Amino acid sequence: MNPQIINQIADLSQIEIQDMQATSNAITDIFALINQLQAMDTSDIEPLNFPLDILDKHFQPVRVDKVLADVQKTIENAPLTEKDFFLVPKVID
Amino acid sequence: MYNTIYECLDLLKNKKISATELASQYLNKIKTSNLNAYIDVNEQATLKQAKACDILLQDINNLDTKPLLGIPIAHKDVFVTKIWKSTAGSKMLENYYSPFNATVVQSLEESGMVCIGKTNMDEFAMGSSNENSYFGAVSNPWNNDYVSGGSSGGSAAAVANGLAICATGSDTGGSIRQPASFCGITGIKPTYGSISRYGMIAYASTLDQAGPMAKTAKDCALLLQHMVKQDINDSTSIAHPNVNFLANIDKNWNDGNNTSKPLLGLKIGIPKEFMGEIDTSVQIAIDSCIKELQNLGANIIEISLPLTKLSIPSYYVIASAQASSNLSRFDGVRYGYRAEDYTDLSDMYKKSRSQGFGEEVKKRIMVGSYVLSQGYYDAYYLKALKIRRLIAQDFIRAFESCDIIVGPVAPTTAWKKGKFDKDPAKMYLADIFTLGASLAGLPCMSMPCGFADGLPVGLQLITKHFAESDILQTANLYQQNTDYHLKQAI
Repeated sequence: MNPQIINQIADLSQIEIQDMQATSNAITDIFALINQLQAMDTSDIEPLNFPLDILDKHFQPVRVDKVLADVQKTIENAPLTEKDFFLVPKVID
Repeated sequence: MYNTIYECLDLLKNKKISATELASQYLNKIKTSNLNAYIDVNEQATLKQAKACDILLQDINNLDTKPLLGIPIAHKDVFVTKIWKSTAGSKMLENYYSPFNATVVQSLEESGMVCIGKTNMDEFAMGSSNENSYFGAVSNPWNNDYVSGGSSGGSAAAVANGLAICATGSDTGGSIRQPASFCGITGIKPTYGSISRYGMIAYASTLDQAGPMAKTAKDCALLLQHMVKQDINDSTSIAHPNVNFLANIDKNWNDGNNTSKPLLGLKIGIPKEFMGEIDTSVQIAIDSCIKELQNLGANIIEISLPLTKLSIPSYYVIASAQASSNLSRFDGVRYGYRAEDYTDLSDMYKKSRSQGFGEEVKKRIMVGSYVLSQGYYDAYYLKALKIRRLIAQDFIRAFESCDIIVGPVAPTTAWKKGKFDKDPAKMYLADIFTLGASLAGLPCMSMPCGFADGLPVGLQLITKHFAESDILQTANLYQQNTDYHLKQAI
């Protein structure tokens, strides 16, 4: 994993890299493990995302689309607020 | 201290102890402990809950509607609570108080339980040693120089050392089973979807599952009874078809009459891929346990789970990908850590996340972002999901010839703190036996089965979807004939 790729990944992740060498080594080690997947032929296999789909039964319930949250309690943990709004640095000139 | 919930319930019903006295005993023991098992303890809040229980205990009939009335429980800090902090073991949520209780916390509170505190954990449930916590590592009660296991290390150490009679944990790739094994207690991860994930701080949404941890299988079954329910707030939660986990737990397998062979008729499969690549001392303990199961009447057969080794890369791709998505909500805007100095919004996101997350979490987010990115999604994420299906099919095939599968939880006992500091990716290999059942969404548990070099060894039991009762019954019958689960670390 060269620095250019690491920087691309960091940008996608919205994370800053402090030590490029250490990060590159760590991510390279993980990909050495992950690349073992390529040895297996899976050309005719369907992906399994929701584990219970293996049972071919539909389980997932749906509910009415109704707001249940208490707005006031929800914003209590925010670093900066004004009335019911979260405050962030200005993004529009 | 006490060994089981049943023991405490008996004392409470017969007025030999009050809920307040019981809670106080645990709170006092926590104050003098050096295990670092807890992140947040609020004595006032706990005693307030206990006093409310004592008022209700004046009328024993209240136990009909609140069967766990007055029993103290510790909650892994991955479950949000209104009164105690909810940190997920992270600086990112160091001072976070949730506006609501997690469903599992609420359910147990409504059953009458008293919250003793929030237990330490690997940050955002990412880790196998509880060394990744912002609040420091948890020590193993059997040898404080060794890890407790993770990510539910605080819960496991607390129960093992008498700092809690029981606890909640969460298991994504082994995080209940492995610390239970390392600390010498019992813990179960039920079928995926059994317990609501509403209010469980998310790591990997198609793998995360809550579960109980206690000294005995029967206590775990009792807790599970009150944790399993479908929840409209979690659209991945299911209506479990077999919720009476206690119905057959004391009965012999297949209602047999042979009292010296309670497991007669039980077919146990041992995957050949699980044996041979483990420490010799662990192998000895596991072999001895299998012999004991045979002596109790079980029939042992060899089976195969040929993709066991591929469960590691498959899991780490899927879990990291889902983690990168789940942790994108931590941006310093609505809750959690916000950096003090930044130039613009984008800089605020980056600095808040870089300073708020630990190294392991940042690594997994980056791996996850990469495997989901354009040009790599098919080669990694989709590939891992296909192998997931093959692994699940292997288990289903295996269950055609056996009732349950057993094997070691981990290749070793707990390791010395700092062992993997220079090579953290090597720690991932230690999850080899627990990941498959997680990927397949199967119920699985760990129970103590011996010791190796002075440290506990756990046996993993895995069964078919929705058949938790089978492994809880097997574990209970084993525990009625052995005493590893009652051993106390001094």
